Amino acid sequence: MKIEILFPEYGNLFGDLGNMMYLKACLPDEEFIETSIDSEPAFVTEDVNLIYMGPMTGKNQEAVIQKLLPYKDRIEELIRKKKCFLFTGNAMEVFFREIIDGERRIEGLNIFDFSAVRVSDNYYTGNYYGEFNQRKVVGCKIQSSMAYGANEHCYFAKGIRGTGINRSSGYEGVRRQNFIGTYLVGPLLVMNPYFTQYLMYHMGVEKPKLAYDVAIKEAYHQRLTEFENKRTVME
Amino acid sequence: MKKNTSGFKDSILKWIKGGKTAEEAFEHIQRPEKLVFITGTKGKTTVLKLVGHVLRESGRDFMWNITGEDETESPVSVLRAGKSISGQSGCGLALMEVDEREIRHICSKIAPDLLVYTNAYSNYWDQKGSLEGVEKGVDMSAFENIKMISNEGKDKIVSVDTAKMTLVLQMAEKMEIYRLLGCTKADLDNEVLAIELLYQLGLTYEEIAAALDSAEPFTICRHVDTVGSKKVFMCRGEEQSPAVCAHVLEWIGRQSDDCAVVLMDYKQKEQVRASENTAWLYEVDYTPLNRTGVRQVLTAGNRCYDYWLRLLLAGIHEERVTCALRPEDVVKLADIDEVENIYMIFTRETRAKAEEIKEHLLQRIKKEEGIK
Repeated sequence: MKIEILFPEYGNLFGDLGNMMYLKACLPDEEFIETSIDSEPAFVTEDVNLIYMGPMTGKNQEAVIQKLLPYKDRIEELIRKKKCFLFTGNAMEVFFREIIDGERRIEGLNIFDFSAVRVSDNYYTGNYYGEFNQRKVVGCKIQSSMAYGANEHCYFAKGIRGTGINRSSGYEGVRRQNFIGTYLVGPLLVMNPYFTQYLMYHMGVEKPKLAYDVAIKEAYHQRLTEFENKRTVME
Repeated sequence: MKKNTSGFKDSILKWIKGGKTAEEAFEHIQRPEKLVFITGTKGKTTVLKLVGHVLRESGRDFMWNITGEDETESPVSVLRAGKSISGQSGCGLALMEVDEREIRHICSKIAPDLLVYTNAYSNYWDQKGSLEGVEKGVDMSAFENIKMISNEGKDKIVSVDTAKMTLVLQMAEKMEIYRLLGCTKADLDNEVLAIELLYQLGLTYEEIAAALDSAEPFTICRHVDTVGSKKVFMCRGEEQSPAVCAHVLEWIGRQSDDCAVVLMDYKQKEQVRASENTAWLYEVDYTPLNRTGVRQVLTAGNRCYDYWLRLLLAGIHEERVTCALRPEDVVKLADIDEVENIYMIFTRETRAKAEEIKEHLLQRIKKEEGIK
């Protein structure tokens, strides 16, 4: 099994490489490929079970778009073939139609018909509590942009509390087949044991086993208890 | 997005309180001959205090915004007052610590002659793309016309001898030997940065080296209590600051004792009414706690299980980690028989609780060691 981490020198903000740290602990015998921005992504020529990228700066986002643009057809083919993709934080915006930054419009890969709008003067921070595949999902948000587009039928998580892809939506992230893009950081896999199991299963792990399962579940349940308490402020 | 307070509302509130708006505050500042801003995520106060010590020792007068052990005044207020440390007006040199979240704005209003950026490395620019990209997205272009000193000058370090506590730097065309003030990477960075700044301010090697000999060594630990054969060290961390946390952990990792470490560097306010974002834990290197002498790591508060998982991922053995959902339980859960020392890492917000726990720990140690 191969897991490709795209451009870790860029997609490393908000501790989100912790996602891969945890996945490595769950899958110690599998191959993790770290592809730098100067190299050709492994997914172009190889069979990869998961492609991951984490949040980055706006400037690096533009470099990543240019880098991935030549592989757009291949990415769409892999999505159709139900390969797993996980793009956290603003990494998912690379696949949008566009990113708006004040007067500037940055063209994305246009695989999802969404716009991201950057707001440079402040970061939005908060917590999110929602549902994915009939399981509760928890996550944190640290972002300087929000997404606009109809994700009611292609969301990652349905909101219970907290803000979705933008202030007026409770639906968080985008999903098509096994492509999942989400603003949730924290890191997502560390905070959501059941989602991590789900992901590993769809990557091809027959009986997904969580590393440090007692600790990860304790942390998850503790956070669930807090999020279910209406007095807990979400942002 | 977070709600923006309107400029109008802000001005009215300040007017009601009799204060000045931010724009007005910059008016009527008498610019000193040399203005230095020191900013960054970690090490600002340390660098500023060290530079201040050397300047004092070498008989220079200056203005600065240090007001207490760890407290600073607004740089604008100090510049407006225009009083130096010796009480003189119209001093030619001003050294100001500036919060990294405000540096861009302040530089746009009053550009310094020198900007010292602590805790920033050449690969930091590549990784984050911009200074403080995580917090504020400060773009480097904001400082294009300002002379900057940062840790990129680390190539000046020739050798470090932690046994003799000496540091050799290659400055211009000669080797210079200085007293080493601390052993961690951050200590070294801060000292080199201070030396570079002092050179820029016109001091000589002889002046700097002589003053460093009488400087206080850098310390992580703010206070030590000794009871019988055991010590409790109070170490100041900072909420959600990977740089500060890593510095403290590195220091503990360099000790050679049998110890317990209590992690209380969480955000107290968020423990009460919200749920703390713990993403920052994954930007911290916890491996220094992997040394054999660290017998126990106690994680306290609502996020204790998040810390637990993070420590396990850093390779710390499960048996060594103890969770105390109620921070008070640290007192009874600490394996005091197994250790010589206890390091408590606290923050400004958790200080009171940490002090309370420390007092109870000391009492327990006294009782168990039969000390009256």
